[in-house]
Amino acid sequence: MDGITIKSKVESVDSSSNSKLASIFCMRNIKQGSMIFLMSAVTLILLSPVIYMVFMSFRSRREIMMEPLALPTKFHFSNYLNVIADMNYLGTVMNTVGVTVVTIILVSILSSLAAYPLARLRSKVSSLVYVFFLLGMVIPPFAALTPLYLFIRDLGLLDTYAALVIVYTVGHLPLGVFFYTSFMKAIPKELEEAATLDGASPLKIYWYVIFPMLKPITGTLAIFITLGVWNDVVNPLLFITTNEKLTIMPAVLRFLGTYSVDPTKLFPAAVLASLPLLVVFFALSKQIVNGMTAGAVK
Amino acid sequence: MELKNAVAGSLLATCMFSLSTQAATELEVSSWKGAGAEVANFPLIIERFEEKYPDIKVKLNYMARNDMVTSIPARMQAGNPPDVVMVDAEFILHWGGNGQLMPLNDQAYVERVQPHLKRFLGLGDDIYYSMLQVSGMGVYVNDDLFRQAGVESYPNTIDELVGACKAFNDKGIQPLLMAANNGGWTPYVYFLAMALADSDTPNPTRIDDFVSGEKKFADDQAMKNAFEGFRAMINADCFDPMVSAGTDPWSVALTTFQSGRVAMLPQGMWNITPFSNDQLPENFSLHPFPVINGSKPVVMDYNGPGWAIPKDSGQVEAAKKWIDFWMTDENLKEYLTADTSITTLQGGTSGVPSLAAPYEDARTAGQVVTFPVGSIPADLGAEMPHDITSFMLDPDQDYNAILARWDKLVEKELN
Repeated sequence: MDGITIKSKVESVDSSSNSKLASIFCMRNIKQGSMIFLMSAVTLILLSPVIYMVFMSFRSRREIMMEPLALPTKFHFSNYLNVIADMNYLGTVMNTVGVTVVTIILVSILSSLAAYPLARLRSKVSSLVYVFFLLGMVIPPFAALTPLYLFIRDLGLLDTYAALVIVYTVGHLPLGVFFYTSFMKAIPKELEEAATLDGASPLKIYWYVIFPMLKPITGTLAIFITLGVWNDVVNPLLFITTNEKLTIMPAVLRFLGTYSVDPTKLFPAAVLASLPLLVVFFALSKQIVNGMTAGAVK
Repeated sequence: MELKNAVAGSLLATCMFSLSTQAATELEVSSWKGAGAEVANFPLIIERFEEKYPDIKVKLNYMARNDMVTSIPARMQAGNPPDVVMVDAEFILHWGGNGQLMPLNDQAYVERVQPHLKRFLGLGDDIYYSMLQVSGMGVYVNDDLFRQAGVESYPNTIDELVGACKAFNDKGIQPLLMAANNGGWTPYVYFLAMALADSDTPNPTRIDDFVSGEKKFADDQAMKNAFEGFRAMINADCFDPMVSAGTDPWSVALTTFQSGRVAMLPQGMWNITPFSNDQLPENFSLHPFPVINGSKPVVMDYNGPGWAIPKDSGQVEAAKKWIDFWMTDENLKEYLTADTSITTLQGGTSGVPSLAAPYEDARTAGQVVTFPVGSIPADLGAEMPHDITSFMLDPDQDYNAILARWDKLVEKELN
């Protein structure tokens, strides 16, 4: 009898815990499901302009005018072919990539070199120099246009890639110094002391010990520089006068007239301009996330 | 010996080549037309120019008008501007006023320009540019929707427009779109058309009287009537103020009209070409604005862009040849046809197609006012579109207060 009672009790406990578990799982599923639904909806809303841009890029002008929000009924690949020829796509992409890569290399080396002593030396002078560097971030870019133009003209570098590289490097140095100084302050001094005991000079310590540790923050800095160079219109239009040397964004904006827009050119041009950036971000997504979260947890 | 001859020959050829390349003048032209979305027959005209002047090579530096605002002043201040720049009345006011442009009074083209346009070519007695075109604003009409609503004739006055709006609304057709997003351009233009046309043959430069302080906005009945005209249109449901305020005149408004969702759209003459290329709407025409202060509709001239020579231009002679070349009917008409606009030359050929005949007829009859770009104080120019859009959204407000505010802005400028 007792055995039966115990068994039935165990069974009832089992069934009640099972039902509890089931309800917990069910609750969890509902919670998870609604979270997934919510996140998907937010993602869809955030991506809707991009999706719209891609769909529109394949439609004819007449279709867009008749039904601006409709999906393409036929894919007009000719839109892309026309734009690629009109904007010298390969040339402008190569120009932009070249200028961006050189700028990233220069900014990361120069600003990390400047940041190293600023992060390590504790004096009023170093604080002042640090503030001086940061001031560069608050100068409105338009206020610097004429002095920069004079500077580049006097160097004889107008209408050259070097002009753009110099302007972008100078423009991003304060940001680089700011990033690196904050990051280097978190690197333990013991590492440098160990290297010093091994007889390394300060420059060697920087190059072999510090610089390799800056990878994550350099990734983040590279994103900022890439976006800055990629989206800039003013500097290429000011310093470059030969069409073949233009970077991508001025080439895209050519399709945006003063009083009219040709969607069959503007949308494909916008897609083509974002494409290399998307490829880079997908290829380097791991490093980018590492860079963004670096220093978040100590 | 043969080798020596070959070397000497190639050296001579190299010298000749370098001499010929040195002789070529590169003329840098900065323009917001000529490429991208607004090619406007530039390649043909440049080809003709280079054929006529084989020693000059044109380097067209295309950029949007807004980008010229940032990049050209920097180059001018540095003493290294393009050789020729495209300008309009607003640039003339700023760059001409700052002494950055070269006076062109002695150039032959000046005599070829229509006499009534000469006063717009510069500042005071100085002529700074060669105006290439007169464009204009009017009301695009979807002829099929007019037929569908049974509206047989285009309204000449606001009263007639109100009647037409009722007919459209009865048939479930949106009569008009007063697209006002991004600066209130359309209501501003429509208001000015009504307010500046104080009679059936208005003075095209009436705005000057207000800007000089000779007349007061607050005392002007035509200005007050223009606000009343707006009120009448809103009360007759000619347009939805809220929808209009949120509609961009340069993109969404165009697609709305082209897709046949609205019967009338106030817009610029420059849209004739894209509308015609798309064959949308299938049947359309360009008309003058219905008026409130008279009985004949008016059009609004928009004095278009043209060429100017910066004072530090490195190729002045070539730049002058460029300007003169453009200001001949043979070449200018190619541009005007592509840009569907009106010639500035005496006896010149305009590029306006027959579907804009009602517009041209009104203009020829003197029913024309001028869009005051560059001729009113900057503060007033910024305030007026916003005030008119604000009135459009709240037509019960007292427009006398708005007019008094405009007078104050003029006073501030004059003092």
